Amino acid sequence: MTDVASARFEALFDPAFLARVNAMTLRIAAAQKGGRLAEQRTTARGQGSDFADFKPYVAGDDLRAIDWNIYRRLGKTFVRVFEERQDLPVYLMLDASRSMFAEAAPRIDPAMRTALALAATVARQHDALSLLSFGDDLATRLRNMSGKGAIVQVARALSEQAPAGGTALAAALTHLAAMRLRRGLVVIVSDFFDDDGLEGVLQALGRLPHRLLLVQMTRASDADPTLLHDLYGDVSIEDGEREAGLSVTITDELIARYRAAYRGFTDALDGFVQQRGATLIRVDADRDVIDQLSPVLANGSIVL
Amino acid sequence: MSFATFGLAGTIAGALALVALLYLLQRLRARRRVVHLPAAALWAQAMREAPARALGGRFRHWLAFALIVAIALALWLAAAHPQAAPAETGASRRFYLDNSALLAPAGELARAKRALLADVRATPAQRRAVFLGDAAGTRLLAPGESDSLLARRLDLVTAEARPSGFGAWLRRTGESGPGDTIRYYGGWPVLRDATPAAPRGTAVQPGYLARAVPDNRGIVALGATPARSGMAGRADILVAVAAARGESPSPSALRWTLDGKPFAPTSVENAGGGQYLVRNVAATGQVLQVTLAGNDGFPQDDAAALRLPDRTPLRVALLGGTPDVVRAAIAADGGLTIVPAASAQVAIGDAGATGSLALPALVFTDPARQGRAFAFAEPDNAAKGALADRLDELGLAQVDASAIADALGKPIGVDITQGARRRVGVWRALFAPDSPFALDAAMPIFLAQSLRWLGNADGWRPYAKAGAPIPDQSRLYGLPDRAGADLLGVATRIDAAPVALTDRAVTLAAADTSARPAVAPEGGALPADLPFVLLVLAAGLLLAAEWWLLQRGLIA
Repeated sequence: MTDVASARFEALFDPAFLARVNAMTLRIAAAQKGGRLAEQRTTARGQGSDFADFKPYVAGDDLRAIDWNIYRRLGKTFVRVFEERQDLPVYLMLDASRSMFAEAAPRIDPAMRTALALAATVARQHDALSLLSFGDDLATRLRNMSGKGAIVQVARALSEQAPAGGTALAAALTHLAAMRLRRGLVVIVSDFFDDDGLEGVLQALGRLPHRLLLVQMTRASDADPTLLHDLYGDVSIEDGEREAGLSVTITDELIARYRAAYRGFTDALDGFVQQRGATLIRVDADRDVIDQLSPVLANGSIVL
Repeated sequence: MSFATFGLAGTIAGALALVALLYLLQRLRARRRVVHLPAAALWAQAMREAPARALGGRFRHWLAFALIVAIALALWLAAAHPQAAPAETGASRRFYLDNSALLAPAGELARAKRALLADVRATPAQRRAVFLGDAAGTRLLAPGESDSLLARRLDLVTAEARPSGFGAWLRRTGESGPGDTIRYYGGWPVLRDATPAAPRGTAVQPGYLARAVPDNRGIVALGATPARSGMAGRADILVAVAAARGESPSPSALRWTLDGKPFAPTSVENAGGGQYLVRNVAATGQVLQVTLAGNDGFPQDDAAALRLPDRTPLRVALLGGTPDVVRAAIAADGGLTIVPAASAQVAIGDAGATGSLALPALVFTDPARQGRAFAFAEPDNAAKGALADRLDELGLAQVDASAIADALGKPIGVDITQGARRRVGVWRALFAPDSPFALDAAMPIFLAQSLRWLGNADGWRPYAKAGAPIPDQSRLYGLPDRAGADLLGVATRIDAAPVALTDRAVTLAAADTSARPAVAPEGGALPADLPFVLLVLAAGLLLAAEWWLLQRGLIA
């Protein structure tokens, strides 16, 4: 582990930070059957503590599940069936493109804290966590981790993350869809600034057979560039992903056009989330991430 | 105000061109700051939707443009070298840089040049001329020429260890207009002594006066003469020394060398008045140098050198075809030594015997090969004329040409041509035992003079003094090496012989501490270059201001 990665790991794997994550949960309306026993509600009937229904006894049923009161009243044997809780496969995708590393205070740091908070939540619920990162390509960093022991591995994998090229989110999503994974929850932590445009990203998201939780890393200056004190006159805008900077002469007219473009960008993202029934959390990179995640994820206040 | 480099029109045109160029550059090329933003794609989208930047668009950064224009104009005007306009009086100024020995001490010439440049710049270009104190009075700057030319020309000027020619130049200078001035840059004694010779109506002013060396002493004469003892091949040497203060240096203060090797005279005879004699020095063509020990601040007169004459017998080789008459005449000449061809200076014989040797030769030939009875070949084409003028020195004037012509039945003539080396061709018939020429008393003279001319034997040069004519002794010793009586310009070498300053007046003038006039700069108290200096200063300050603003992000 390099010095930078080591320092980043120390900053990430902070007990105080992880303690604040304990209050967060990720609940899904109904997980797909076929997983391990865990805490997510499913349509599967079997062992569990939540009563679901009666069914006539057939040979092979557990004799301990026969409801003897019904037998006494009706003279027929019925057994009680319970809702079986299983784990949820969670695919946590972190944007590791160079634009996330570009600024003086890069967004990758709060993005990693966000990813770790979500991963810790998933691990604590004994759900199956897979960690993926994407830049030019999609890379699987961890697969089917669960339990508290997974948190250290996630923190280490995150801290070792290096810039991975440009933002090719649409291609990464297409790749993910082609992997035919067990249906679960896809969590994407990204700025969603794809050079090929948001339209391709949204189309690829629409093709995913998973539930979606989108975490957009933002800054106030994204919507209002006048907050940037050095953005005036003739500048070269570099996002780390282009060979040459974008030569721009900042004018009021151009700022107005940028604002319109950014509004269109956020409107498109919001529209997709609403249409798809996904969830979008906007995290301001300049504020504490737990403070921003807690209102949404605390005590199961969101059911995906 | 004037502009030394480009002139007024050129300066204004250049300034306008610079402003236009900077304006275009300001519009076309902006220096961009780098801003790191992940939303570059959205900015690119906004740019695509915005109209392209056009040359005719709104102009921005007026203050930055004004600052850059100010810097560029300051530099441009400085390059044009503006000068404060000198007062226009209508009178002309002539400047005379006397680069003679009095400006030779370290730093004197450089200071004189600086003073000269400053004064010239403070003088209207049309009313100034600058002259150099060499033998020809070379004009360094003509009226109307830029003083930047003078600076470059002065770079080539060096001080020369010779007496000043200012007095002679002043006497050659014609009448001038009222109020005309000659400014002099050199030694104060020269100016003092020469001023009375100035043309009527012309004021002579000091522009720079070299500092005096009060304790100067030097060698003021060095010469050689045939030894009084009568010993052949020996010379007596006279050296004279002088000191501005106190006693003349004693003989023990003199250091002697011959061809660079230390030489200790057996005795130095004090002839009085600071003159010393060294007798019976072998005259074999060595360079004799005398140096005065000690450093007095004026080293130009502390050493003198002289090439002694070569009085050793001329080595000749008698080869095949040499008539007996000639053999006898040569054997009888004590100034000639007969040696083998390998060590000879001159070969004597027929064409077959001398042709294979790379030596000057006296060749005996016949009318079929040589049209004239006497034929001289000289490699230096320019020297042919001088040779033609001095043929009498060869003894031919005493020859009874008609008697010889009658005896030979052919006319007698002389031909001078150009050849690879010196050569004298003579008909063999002239040296037949019964030939009138062989019986003539002029024959041995002809042989002796011809052979010495062929051997390039130098005449006796008693001294070689800078600024004085070459002592011409050819009437005494035969044909001259050089025609005329050139001025020995500097204390360098002429015909591979050194030239010494050896001038008592210069040695004493260098030590002259008499009251001298104050030197006032031309054009008043303010230097003519003040506008130039101020512009350079302003440009530097503006550049610093731009750098300061740039570092703080206050300008693009």
